[in-house]
This record gives sequence, structure tokens and C-alpha cells, in this order.
Amino acid sequence: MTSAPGLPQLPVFRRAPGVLHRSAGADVLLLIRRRGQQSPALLELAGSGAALWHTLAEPRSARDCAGRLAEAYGVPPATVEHDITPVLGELADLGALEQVADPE
Amino acid sequence: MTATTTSLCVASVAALGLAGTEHAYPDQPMDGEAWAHLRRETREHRLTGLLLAAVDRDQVPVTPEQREDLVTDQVRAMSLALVLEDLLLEVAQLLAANDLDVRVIKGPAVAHLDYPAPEMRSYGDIDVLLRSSQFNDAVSVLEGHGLARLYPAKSPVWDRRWAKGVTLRTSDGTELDVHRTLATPPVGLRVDLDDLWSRSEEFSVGGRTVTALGREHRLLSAAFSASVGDTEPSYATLRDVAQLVLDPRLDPDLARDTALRSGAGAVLAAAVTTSWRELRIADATALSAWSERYRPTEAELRELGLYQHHRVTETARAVATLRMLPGVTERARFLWVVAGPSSGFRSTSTRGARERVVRAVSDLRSAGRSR
Repeated sequence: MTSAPGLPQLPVFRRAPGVLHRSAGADVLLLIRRRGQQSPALLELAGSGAALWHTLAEPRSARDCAGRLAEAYGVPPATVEHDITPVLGELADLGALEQVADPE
Repeated sequence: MTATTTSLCVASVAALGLAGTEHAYPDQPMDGEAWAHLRRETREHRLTGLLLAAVDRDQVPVTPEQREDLVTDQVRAMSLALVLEDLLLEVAQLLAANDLDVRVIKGPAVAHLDYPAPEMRSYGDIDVLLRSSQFNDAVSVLEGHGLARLYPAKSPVWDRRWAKGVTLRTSDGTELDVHRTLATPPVGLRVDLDDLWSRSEEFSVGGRTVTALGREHRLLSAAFSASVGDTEPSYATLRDVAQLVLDPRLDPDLARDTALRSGAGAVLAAAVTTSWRELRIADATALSAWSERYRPTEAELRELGLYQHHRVTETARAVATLRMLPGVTERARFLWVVAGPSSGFRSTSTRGARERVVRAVSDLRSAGRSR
């Protein structure tokens, strides 16, 4: 989903290259090796966190992710966007995601 | 899957999803004791992913608690798989940087290339194949990178000419099996090593491309593990054989000829017939029919027997290997290495090390969850 002409461009998140992942039931496991770290970090995403990861099989903005998850969970998109925005930021901080377009 | 039963066995789990299996499956969840036994065996034979996938497709009924048991086991298995694939990428990159060729074999290769999803096949170590001519150089590079041999080398000439390979271990206990060929002597000495490198197939791990053996050689590799491996074959290995033989992309004539070129007709036929028997596969394919018809020679039967009686095999295998070596000099050199003062056949059991890897994974998981 791209921003309409004239509107600020939304940040787009994608899975960071080199992150290894596997499903385990409904959960998703991530192995993240960050630059300068001796050992990789292993994260387990459960519930909607795992659903968010699946949604990010393609690069998407928080709003785009929220729209897709809202449909799946039957929750208003604005509520979902409010909930996932900090998670996206946290996953980016951990090196699991990277932001590919900055807001203007 | 029409027949029903009150309980599952590990062989029936290994056959899950195979269209031609005659294994029966329960229509009610199993009771606690039987479930605990099945869960343990499923884990040991690296089949948790197959069972969980069948449960999630409503092919096997379980209680919510039993499903949670499976998820717990699968998280553990997949955590280990990720740690191992991280090592695989590191090793592949290191060897490539030193102009050394590498092929991924066994667990990770079949998980990514031959199963519908890699989650359906777990594994406990990483196996790679190196060119015989580059073997000692590659091991030196890996040792220089901090990996250590599980057992001391008999001699460089042993590694380069006769050994199946060596097991290396990282500082955190993760194991890497570095192969020169697909089986220990004597059978491993007949493998056509040039042919092994003649075809390949790529797959992606974390967005990076790694190279495996071609499909028919992956079957040959699974057949060696099933028929003449260092240990009794796991049901995951027997499933690998069935998974590959039933794959319509496999060329059965090429697979058969590949085995025959390496003097491994009996090895392949035994692996396929064992898989068909254990997984109770009723459907015949060109390769399963050929395997059924295959009549091993007395010499082939004797050789297969060397790998089936573990208490007496090391000396017997050495004698059998000695017989097939050409020339007095080669035999004398072999004898010196095998029976010399700095050598001696050693056990290749890796159970303890694998348990340490699992513990290391548990530690990683704890670190990850404490974010």
C-alpha cells in the first residue's frame, strides 16, 4: 500500500536480511545476528506478534499491516495500528525488521 | 488414512501424509501414558513437526494439552534448527571465502528441498560434504576459525583417503559433521565422489543461497544413512527416503544408476524396501519395484551385515576395507594408520554433545524471552 499523492510517505517495514525464522505451531521463532554481537538472539513471537511477522512477508507500512490484521481479527484498524506501531519499532530495534522508507 | 486404531506408533507418525500408507490412525485422542511414550519417541526420531502438521490439519485428534506438548517440543526442535542453520551459513561463507567448495547434505538440505515446509523435518547437527582434494585444507580453515575436532585425527592421510569425515564442534557445543564421502569404509570407499559433485540444487536460508547435492544424490545420501549409517536409522531418515522416492521430480533411472555407479545398489534397495516396509507404503513406484526385485550378492549381504552388528563391526570393517584396497603399499599404509600407536577406532556417539547443544539453545531462548 503506498501513500496517496501529496500525503506524507509512511515508513515501510520489511524483514531484515539474514534473520532466520521458523514456525512452531502458531508461534514464530526468529534468530537474529546483530553486527558486533558474539551470539545470536533467539526470539519467540506468539499470537498477534506471529501474525504480524507473517503479514510482513512483503514490505508494508504499519497502516497496511493494521488493515490486514484488522480484517483477520475483527478489530478496528486504528486500534490495531495503535497496538502494533510500538511492536514494529521494537522489532526494528532488535534487528528483526528494518525500515525502508523514512517519513517526510 | 481410512483404518483407525486406538493408538499411534512412531512408524505411523513417520508415515503421516504419505498417500499410500496403510498405517491406521486413531479417531480419538490417545490416553496419557500412551501419549507420553509416543511424544518421547516422536521427539527422539525428529518427527514432531510432521505430527504437529497432521494435528493442525485435523488428521490426528489430540487434546488441547497434547497439542501444547507438541508445540513445546517443536519450539525446542526449531530453535535448535535455527542455531544450526546460523552455523551452516557461517561455515559456508568461511569456506567460500577460502575458495573451498561445499555441499549441504542430510537434515537441512532435505528439510528445505524435499518437504512441503522445513518445519516438518528437524535435525540435531549440520552435515556438509567437501571435496576429497580440499578436505584437509577445509578442516584446517574451520579449525582456524575456532571449531575443534571431537576426536583427534588418526592422520592427514586417513582423513583425505579413507575417512568418512570428521566431527567438529564450536565453542558452544554445536556440532558440524564434515564429510568426504557418504559412509564409513569399506562401503564409503566405493562412492563415486566426482559423480556426487556433478549435480547440485540451491536453497535459501535467511535470504542467502546455499548449495545441496542434486535430488538423486540426496536420495543416495539418505539411503547410506538408512542402510549403513553409524547408528540405527531414525524414522526421520526412513521418511526422507520415502519422501524422495515418492517425489515426482525424482528421476528413478538416474537414482538407480547413480547408486550402481557407486557400488551401492544393495544400499539403495535395502533403504527403499525398509522404508516401504516400516512406513507400510502400498503404492509401488518404479524405484520401489526395482528395490523389491533387487537380489544382493553374497558379498553385498556380508558388507551390509558389517553395519548391522555394532559390537563387532569396527575390526570387521577394517578387515573388509583392507581387502578392497589396491596394492601392498596402500594396504600397509592403511594398517599403519588403523593399528598404529596414535590411532584406534573410537566410538562416534554424539548423544552427549547434542544434549549440550539443546542446553545451549535453551539458554538462547531464555535470553530472547527476557527482552
